[in-house]
Amino acid sequence: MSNRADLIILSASRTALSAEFSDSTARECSNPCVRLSLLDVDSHDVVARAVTRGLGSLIVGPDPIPVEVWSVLPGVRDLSLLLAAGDAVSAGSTVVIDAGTTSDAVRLVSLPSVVLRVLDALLTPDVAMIRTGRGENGFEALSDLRAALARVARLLQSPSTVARIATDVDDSMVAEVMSVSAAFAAHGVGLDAVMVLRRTGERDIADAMVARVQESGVRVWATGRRRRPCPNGTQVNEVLSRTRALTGSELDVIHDGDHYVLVIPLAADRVGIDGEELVIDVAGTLRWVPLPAALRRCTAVSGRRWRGTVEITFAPDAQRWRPAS
Amino acid sequence: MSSQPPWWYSAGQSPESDGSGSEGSSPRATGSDGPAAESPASGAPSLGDFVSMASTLVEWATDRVMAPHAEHANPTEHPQCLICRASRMLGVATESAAPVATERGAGAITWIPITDDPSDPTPPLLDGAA
Repeated sequence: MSNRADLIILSASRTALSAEFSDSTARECSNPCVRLSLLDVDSHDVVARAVTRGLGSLIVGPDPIPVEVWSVLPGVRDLSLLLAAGDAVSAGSTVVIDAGTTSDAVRLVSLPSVVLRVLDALLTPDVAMIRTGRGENGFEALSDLRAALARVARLLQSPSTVARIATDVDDSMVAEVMSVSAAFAAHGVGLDAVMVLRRTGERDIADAMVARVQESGVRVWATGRRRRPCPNGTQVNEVLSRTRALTGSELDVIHDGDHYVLVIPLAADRVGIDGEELVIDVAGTLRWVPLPAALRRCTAVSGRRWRGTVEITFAPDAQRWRPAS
Repeated sequence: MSSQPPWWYSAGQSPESDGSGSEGSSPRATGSDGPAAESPASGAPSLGDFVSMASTLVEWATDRVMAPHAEHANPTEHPQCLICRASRMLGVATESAAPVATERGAGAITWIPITDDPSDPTPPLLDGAA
């Protein structure tokens, strides 16, 4: 089993902290390393490449749209960064992403599943007839974009992708770490570790908070003035301890009398049904996972939060359920 | 009954009337240009006339029947629609046309009500009182 991280997603409670953390991580990587920053001006080139690879096919008119305009469209920068990360990992590099704040990082990892759904709805025979202003077939370009994004989505969920958080000691620290951890897990990304930065005199408070975070199974290393990007005795691109992440195929269904209970191992904010898929809302981001086959012929009756999970009770739908002969 | 020909029957009309200013309000078909569309002087309908009539009927059917029906998801809700009525007679339609909201562009997620179990020892995730 490989212990090496191919993709390390770093975020922090402050953008400056995230930049510092990702710089030191990239510097200490022993193998070829690519550092990508969500906030960096260098991402102009990254966006330009993404536009030529398929995003530009969304525009069917003849007039080109400058990269600077693409860059300010919400989500385009994130998408471009993920595509670049996927390419670099495929080429054998370790990629360190400076994702900025933790909320930026959550948005980043949640993007592929949403865009894939949009592309799936967009790639129809009607669209196949459309040619872009430059005479290209937009359908093929969008199909290529979809394939690249699907690879990125698989990469995010692979055991060699880890997310790390750096945080200051403050009142919201534990709640933020737990929320971000759940959001990463919902999108199949394991949280590797949390680096807690404490100032002089904060040792007691920090220790109490670290203990609370550790109770949830997240590895924590606390540092003082001397900051290292990983605990002593470990390699910076070593997978330290990946928390459980939702893959979609591990949802437990318990048969309880006339009902079925689906257990989602996350403290989700909301859970819904979208056709034959389950929609899990964590920290404002949505993840779609296929419903287990038996539950596609059932109706959701109720749900409850219990010990960090959500349990949904389903009752068989008489109209869709074949009676036992 | 009036001896006037129906509005969709163009045979026998003089070429002058075709060029009148009131043509714009006429529902006649415009797809019958070409040699076959010319009527013989005898007044008998030619092939062009039949083509013109057919295309006019198709346009009428499209405007009055097909276009409104395109928005009908559940035939049982539209007894006045010819196609819905025919669908029901032929048994094509089923009562399971319910997920109207999941049609393209109008997808809807059905959210499940979730309650916090009072006996749960786990503190709420975002209590802010960490």
